[in-house]
Order: sequence, then structure tokens, then C-alpha cells
Amino acid sequence: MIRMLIVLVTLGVSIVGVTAADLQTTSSSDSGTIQFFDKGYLNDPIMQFESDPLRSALDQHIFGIREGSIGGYDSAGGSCGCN
Amino acid sequence: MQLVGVFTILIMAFVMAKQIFAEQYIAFKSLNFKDSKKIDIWEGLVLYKTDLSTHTQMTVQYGLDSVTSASFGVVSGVSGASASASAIRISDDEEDDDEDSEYTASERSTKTRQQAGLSITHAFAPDVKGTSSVRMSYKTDYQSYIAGQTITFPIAGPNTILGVGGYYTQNNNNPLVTTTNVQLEPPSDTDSTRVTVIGSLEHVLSRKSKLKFLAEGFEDKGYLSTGYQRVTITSDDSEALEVLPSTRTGLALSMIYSQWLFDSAALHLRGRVYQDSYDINAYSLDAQIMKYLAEDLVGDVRLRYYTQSSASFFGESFVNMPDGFFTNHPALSQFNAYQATAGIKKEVEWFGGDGAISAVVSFYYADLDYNFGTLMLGYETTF
Repeated sequence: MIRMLIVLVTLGVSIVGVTAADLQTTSSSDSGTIQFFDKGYLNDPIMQFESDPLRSALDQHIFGIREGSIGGYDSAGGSCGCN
Repeated sequence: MQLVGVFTILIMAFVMAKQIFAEQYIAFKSLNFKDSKKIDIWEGLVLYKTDLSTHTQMTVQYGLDSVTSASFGVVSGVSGASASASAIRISDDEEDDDEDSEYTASERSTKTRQQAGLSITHAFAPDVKGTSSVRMSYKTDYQSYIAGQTITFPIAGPNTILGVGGYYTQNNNNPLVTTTNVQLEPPSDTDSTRVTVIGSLEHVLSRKSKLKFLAEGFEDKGYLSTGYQRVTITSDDSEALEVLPSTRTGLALSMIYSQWLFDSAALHLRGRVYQDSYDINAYSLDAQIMKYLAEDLVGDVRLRYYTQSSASFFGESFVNMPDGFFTNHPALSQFNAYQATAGIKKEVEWFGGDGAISAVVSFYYADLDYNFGTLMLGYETTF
């Protein structure tokens, strides 16, 4: 449980730190709603949460064989059916 | 050979389809996985995606995967594994190393699995999308049928997207083959089901960063089993087959943070925590950097750390296990795992359209003496 808290705190601090650095380098007009014409970086292929769904699905096949936990990987739900 | 056969058939289908639809996408993936315990997996996948209309997209996929494995002989204690669906015998007695002993290793065998899937995504409005999908996975001793529905829609403006969905899985598990010395018999009904519920929340933080939260809960019911069941000879020469509770519930919470870096790179940070009714607690943390090495070349590296506690009924011996449940499968044991992955993807022109070729190498090490490498080659093209 302590390790879990350390992981989550580390992740949270990293996010806050990087976001703060990002906001400092952007103009004041970046606050508030980001318009669709201003989402060039966000829509870039390498910025997608899952840039390669097939690679993710195959990773889940490997994890499903070796690890006891299930789900939470942002890929297709319901398992891979690969018992 | 089978992948070549599938490739040929799919190219013929594409030629006929191109005149009908405007946007089509075809992808081929091949994965080869080997580990130090002589488990060898090959997987090939073909995916075809096309626009049925300006608001509707269909994806069809078909794949084969084969698992070739053998136990690595009689060993002391309860180490060793066979990825065969057959129960295998592990002896506690070092004298049983004699290959003429009745406790000899199972032979190397190959199991082949076919998988197929169909999904249709429809955009009802900007940022409002629904996806219906069906998938099936078939091998002679285990079949799965999965149906799901998800929908995403904006809340509180276009920068926050809520997603909800659910899946239902039906597993048909044919009884295992056991040796003549194993007295335990599987139940008459060896089927199981899984209900999965998913919720997600995406939020744009700035022009260069975004965040996603994901929650996934599941409930399994029926004859539950791990992928590779084991028969253990206990210290008093009795035999114990893995027995899992007939119900399992679990919840995974994860967070993904993506940040555009400098001029041509992206950072992805992922954290996940998990808990289930087997008393398995797990969490993982991984970091990935993707970068444009050239206008048409992307490289990425990823590091992942994973740790889990064991199931409450995991043990080296069946003796004194709570409620009669028992497993000594490594996947339900306590361990830490480390993974390093590197990949590269290059855009190419292929069959008159824009496409890409990608290659990935991944190394995974778990401190229960499992370590293995994965090499995946993939070909993608878009017409």
C-alpha cells in the first residue's frame, strides 16, 4: 500500500511539474477552452493516448499470460479471450 | 505460410472493395515471443478498416496465434510450467529426475488460436461517438465470444470527454486432459462469463498536454482457471489440481498523462492500481517518449515497472489452503516485473497509398526467474 502511494504521488508530482512548466511557456490566451483549430499538437499521432492499438492489444496478450491483474489498460475491454 | 495465405486473400478483397469505399486501411502484424522457459508464441494479425459513410467506420480483423511449449522436465519443489492446456505433473522428489519415472515431462505441444473481430463506430455529432464490437477467439480447448458497446461524449465543453461502456464475455472451457494418475475430475459445467464495465474521462489541460482517467471493473463467474493449470505432487504424495473460486471481481484505476515536448516529441506517463477478490494488489508505472527522428520516422522508448502481491490461496502446497482453493501458478504469485521496449516506425509508400512499417523489440523480466524477449514486426498501409 505504501508503494502504491509512492507511485501515485510521484506520478502526480510529475504531472503537476510538467504542466506548470508547459503553462509558463504558453501565452495567456491558452487558458480556458482550447479551440479545435488550436489542437495541432494534441491531434498529432504521437500525442494519442494509444498511438498503436494493435501493439497495445498484443502487449495485453503478453501481460495476460504473465500477470494476474486484469484491465485498466485503455485497450479493448472484455479480455482477449486467450486463455 | 498461413499469414501469406491470409495476406493473399485480403489483397484480393481489397481490390474489389477499393472501388466502393473512399477511405480504407489495411494492416498486418506479426509477433514472435520466446522466453527462457521454452515457451514460444507466434501471432499474426490482419486488420482492415474502411469508411462506410462520412460518419461511420467499420473495422474487421482476423488473427492466428500459436503457443508452443513444454515443461522443462521434473524439478524439485513446485517450479516449472507448461503452457499446454494439459495438466502436468511436478514432483517434489528429486529422485524422480529419472526420465523413466512416471513423473516425466509432458511433450512439447503447439496450440493454435484463431481470433476474429468486427467493430462499427458511428459519429452521432462532433465528439459523440458510439462503437459496437464483437470478437471471438477459438482454439480446440477454449473459446471466447465477446460483445461490447462504448460511447463517448463531451461534458462541460469540448475539452472534456466522458466515455462509458460495457462488455460481455462468454468462455467455453473444454475439460482438461489429465494423466491417468490424477483422480480429480473437472466439473460437468466448465463455462464461465465475464461482465466488464468501463468509464473514462479525458481532459485537455493546455495546447500541449492532456490527461485521461480510466476505471475498469469486472466480474467473472463460473469455472475459472489460469492459462496453464498445474498438478502438484505434495509432500505426502497426494495430488492437487489448481482450484480457483467460482467468482472473481476486480477493479483497475489508471491515469495517462500526455505532454508535447520541445518541437518533435511526446511524453506519456501511465500509472495503474488494481485490486481484486483474490487479494491480488498490483500497480504499474510506465513512461514512454515518442519522437520524430525525421519527417517520416518516429522512434519510441518505454520503461515499465509492475508489481503484484500473490493471491490469498497461492502456495507451494495444497496443505492448509483456505476454503479448499489452491494455485501455484506464477501469474498469481508475488513478483516484480520490469519491461523495456524500443520501437521505430517509418512512413512508406506501398500499393499506391501512404503506409508505414514498424518494428518493436521488448524485453520483460520478472523476478520469479522468468525473463523473455519479444520481437514484433508490423506492416501498415493506408489507401
